[in-house]
Amino acid sequence: MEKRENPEVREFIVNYSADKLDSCPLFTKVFGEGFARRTLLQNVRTVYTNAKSKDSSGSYIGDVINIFKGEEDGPLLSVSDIENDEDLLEVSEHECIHAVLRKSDEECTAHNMEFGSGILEYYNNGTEIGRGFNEGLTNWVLKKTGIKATTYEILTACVDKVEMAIGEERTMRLGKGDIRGNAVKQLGMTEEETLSLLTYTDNIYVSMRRGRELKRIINALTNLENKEEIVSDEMRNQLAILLETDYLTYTNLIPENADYLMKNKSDTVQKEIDYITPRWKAEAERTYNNLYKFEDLIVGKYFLAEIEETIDSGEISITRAKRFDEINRMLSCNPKKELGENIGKFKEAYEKLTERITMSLIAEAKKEFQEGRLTGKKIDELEKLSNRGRFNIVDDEYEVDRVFLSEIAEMINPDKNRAVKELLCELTKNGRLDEIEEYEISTVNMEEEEIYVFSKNGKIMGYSNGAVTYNQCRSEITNDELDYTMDEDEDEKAVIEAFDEMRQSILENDPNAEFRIINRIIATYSEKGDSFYYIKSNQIVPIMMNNEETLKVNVASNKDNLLAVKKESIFAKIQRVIKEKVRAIFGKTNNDIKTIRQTKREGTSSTEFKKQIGDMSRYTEKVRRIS
Amino acid sequence: MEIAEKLKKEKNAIFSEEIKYNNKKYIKAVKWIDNGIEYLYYEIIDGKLKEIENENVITYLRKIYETNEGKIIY
Repeated sequence: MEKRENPEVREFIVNYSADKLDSCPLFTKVFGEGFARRTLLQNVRTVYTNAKSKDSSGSYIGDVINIFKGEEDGPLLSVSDIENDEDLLEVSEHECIHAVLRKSDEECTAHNMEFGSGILEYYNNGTEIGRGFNEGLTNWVLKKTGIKATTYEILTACVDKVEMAIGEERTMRLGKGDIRGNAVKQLGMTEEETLSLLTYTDNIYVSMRRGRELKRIINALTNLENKEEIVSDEMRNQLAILLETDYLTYTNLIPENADYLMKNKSDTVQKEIDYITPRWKAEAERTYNNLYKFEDLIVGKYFLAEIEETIDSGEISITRAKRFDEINRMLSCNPKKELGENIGKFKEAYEKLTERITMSLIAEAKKEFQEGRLTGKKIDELEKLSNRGRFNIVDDEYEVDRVFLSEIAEMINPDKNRAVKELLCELTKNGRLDEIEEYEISTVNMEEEEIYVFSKNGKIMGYSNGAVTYNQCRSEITNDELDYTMDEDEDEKAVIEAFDEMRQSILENDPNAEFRIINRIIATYSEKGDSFYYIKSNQIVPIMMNNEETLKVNVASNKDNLLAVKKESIFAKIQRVIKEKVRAIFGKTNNDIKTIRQTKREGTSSTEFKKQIGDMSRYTEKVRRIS
Repeated sequence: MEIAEKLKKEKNAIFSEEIKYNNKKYIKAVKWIDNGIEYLYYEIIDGKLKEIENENVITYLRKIYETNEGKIIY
């Protein structure tokens, strides 16, 4: 049965996409109000649903959108089916964007095209360019209207990188097409660079599609029960039908495959899998090689000079630092050196830059410390500037900047820097650095390892071995609650029994005793004093405390800026107050002040000068010296 | 003269990329022509451009290194 015309779905998706696009300020800024609805009504005459495709969810051809969903002989896909399915909404709008950005007949004639949409140009001679980038761009527009984009992931990320380089408005303007004119202009590239960029993304498009086809064949072959079965011609034909792919045509097309088929007609399924698998891997490698080339082009064209100039200027704002963090994060990991010369240089410069920023923040902390003003809150503020989310790559958990905190610990408590660093890390992670002055650190010995115990108001809050802090204090721990990280070959039942025995003996002496389990350490609080145990080889073993005194961290109080080390001299205080007042008035850097002075000298009116000063003082972000 | 430069000068190709396939080196070049673009493929032997004689290889390279889905977009 063939696909079926679906006027209701047409009306719905046209309206839905028109509403989304026409309410996207960036889209209407570039294409004008009402453009989406007008073009959609004109360019989408028919929508077909209820057909299957081997590897697509939707397509746009001529003035037809196909939504490949719904059984061929089942009920017609309904509007509510689409409304209630995020994936179908995504596909519908994706195809509608192709329709909206479709080139007019006049544009096609002007550029010798038979057809075009966005940045895809399909010429009269049967060649085409820009298909890969266009799919990424279509998804990028989709995201700008608030719809998620889950297809063409790598190509969409390529367009995100372009946005980072040229900004969102110029990226949106790429949707107007005209590779040799508009695209070259918006990208700020030469014609050769523009073609390179489009070719790399086209290569990604082809290799991803082929990789997907090959993977489908591998999966189907892998699912066959008898891998030793002979692959006959008949079976190959059946496979081709089963996979709904031009498998035979495809394999025959490749000269080496034709030879292979001639010589190995009686191969087994397993050998067939072994033959196709490396070809599938080669497609994946080709995808990434082209991605590296694409990134290297973008980095060399835009980002490398930007980061090098920033380093040379000796100053950076945190906003700009975050921009470089973002660029660094967007670049693929471990590019092959020969394909990533510019990426290599960028990463090197980025390392240098982040190190300098951290060093400048450490210098600021040092100054605050010498002036007796380094509080936990201040350390927290500086750590956030040094960290900037650079370490939260894997999950949402806040990862601290250990290099920065290590330097701070070394500065404030050189003799016990390791212990202080661990406390700083724990409190930073939990957003409790402002309480640091209330904490004390004790040292305990567990086998050969020294562990730091962090307590507040006499209660143990955590340990230095990556312990989970701030969990509930539990006075009645049932066996089920004995939650600990189990060692290999450990007998859980034996540990629970040992724990029960230890708990009973403590409760006999003090029925009000409390227990806290943090990772493999058990803390007990009783009238007779606190004691610590740890789980070792199915036993609960007491931990020996060092006889050293507890340690307080050498920071100023949040409340009254108590002096930590050195008293600030009257002269230094006057200097500091003046500097702060000057900073409050002029906000930015010496360079900015110089520029304003220069402008004034060159004849800016006094009103304009005052306005500039006003604008500057409202600009609160600090530009930091990093040289 | 470097091959890419040679292609630029002699064939008006504005972009080219080297391709390794079946232990042989090929080059794909792109040039603008009156009614669109043209992809050119050559084999590189001893640093020199040679026409590809095997039609199957050209078909294969076109399949691998060009998108060719025409008026349909997904």
